[in-house]
Amino acid sequence: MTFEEFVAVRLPALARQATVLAGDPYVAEDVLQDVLVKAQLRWARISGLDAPEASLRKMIINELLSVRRRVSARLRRERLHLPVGTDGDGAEQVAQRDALIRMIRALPVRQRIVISLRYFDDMADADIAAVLGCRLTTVRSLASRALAAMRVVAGRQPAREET
Amino acid sequence: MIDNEAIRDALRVIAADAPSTRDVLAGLAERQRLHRQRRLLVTVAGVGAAAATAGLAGLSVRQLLASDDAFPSIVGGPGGGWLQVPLRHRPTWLPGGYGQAGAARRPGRRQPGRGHVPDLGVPGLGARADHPDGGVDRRVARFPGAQPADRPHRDSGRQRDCRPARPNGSGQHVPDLAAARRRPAHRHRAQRRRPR
Repeated sequence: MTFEEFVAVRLPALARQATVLAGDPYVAEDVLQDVLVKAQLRWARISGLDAPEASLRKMIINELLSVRRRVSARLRRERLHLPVGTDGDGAEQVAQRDALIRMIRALPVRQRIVISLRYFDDMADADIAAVLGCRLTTVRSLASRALAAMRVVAGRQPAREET
Repeated sequence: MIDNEAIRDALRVIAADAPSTRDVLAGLAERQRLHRQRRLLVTVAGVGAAAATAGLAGLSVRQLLASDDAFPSIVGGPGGGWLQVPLRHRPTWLPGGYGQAGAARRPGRRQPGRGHVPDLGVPGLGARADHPDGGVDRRVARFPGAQPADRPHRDSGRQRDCRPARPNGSGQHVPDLAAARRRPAHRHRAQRRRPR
């Protein structure tokens, strides 16, 4: 399979994956273009692997974890405002989901990557540790902290509704 | 309360905002061109830096080797000009055998000691040990042409002529033979007049 054939077939899935990992479609587009440029230069080696998609996913994660990306992601996170609760029963679920989405996007990069790989790709913690190049306990710690932050946001909604 | 399904639902919503394939491919060509330019620039800069480093190292090694192989040319004379000091006396003519009148030729008449001019092989270059500034022996100053170059004359107090002796074409100094022949004649006439 040539690089062009691979891109034509797998680019939509890669774009969705990059968007979930990055938490922002514009950052995902930028990261995906960088990764594709690098992958095209090394396509002879990548195409020989069993799972080229896994290699590109690893490249996307490495690009997100680069210092340059992490600095810009921290700046975006500082500009984030926590969601404000809305009135009404039907709107409460929508508002809670919206708050959760914004909270996932505002997570630190490593925590968001762990949450994405665990709940979007249904990967085991050991596989996530292999992808991130860290220990299993580190992955569980990152996931625990991310879930705790999301629970804080979920528990804040009723409290804001009362006030 | 947040459960796993709520998180998956939120992630699916985020994934739905993924950029379109057309947008990704549209910027891909431009990014490839920029990437190639950056790689070329980095390669050229690296090659240039490596060439400059190798050139400087090679030049240094060449200079070191050249200084070992050949005697360096001295600009400005011996010692690069540091050895050029003004002469205290003008080199000129001295009578033959001057400075060699030691005890070996006339034993018992004169012993080497105070005021003796050692034979250095060069006439007129004997320095007196009792002279504080290594001045010339008076016998040297009595001969015509052997004039101090920078000491005032004892009689008149005037500064003597400090012009260097004129060298001939071969670089050797021409002794003033005519003045040397005339001077003893004047002295003989003065001595003949003195008893009167």
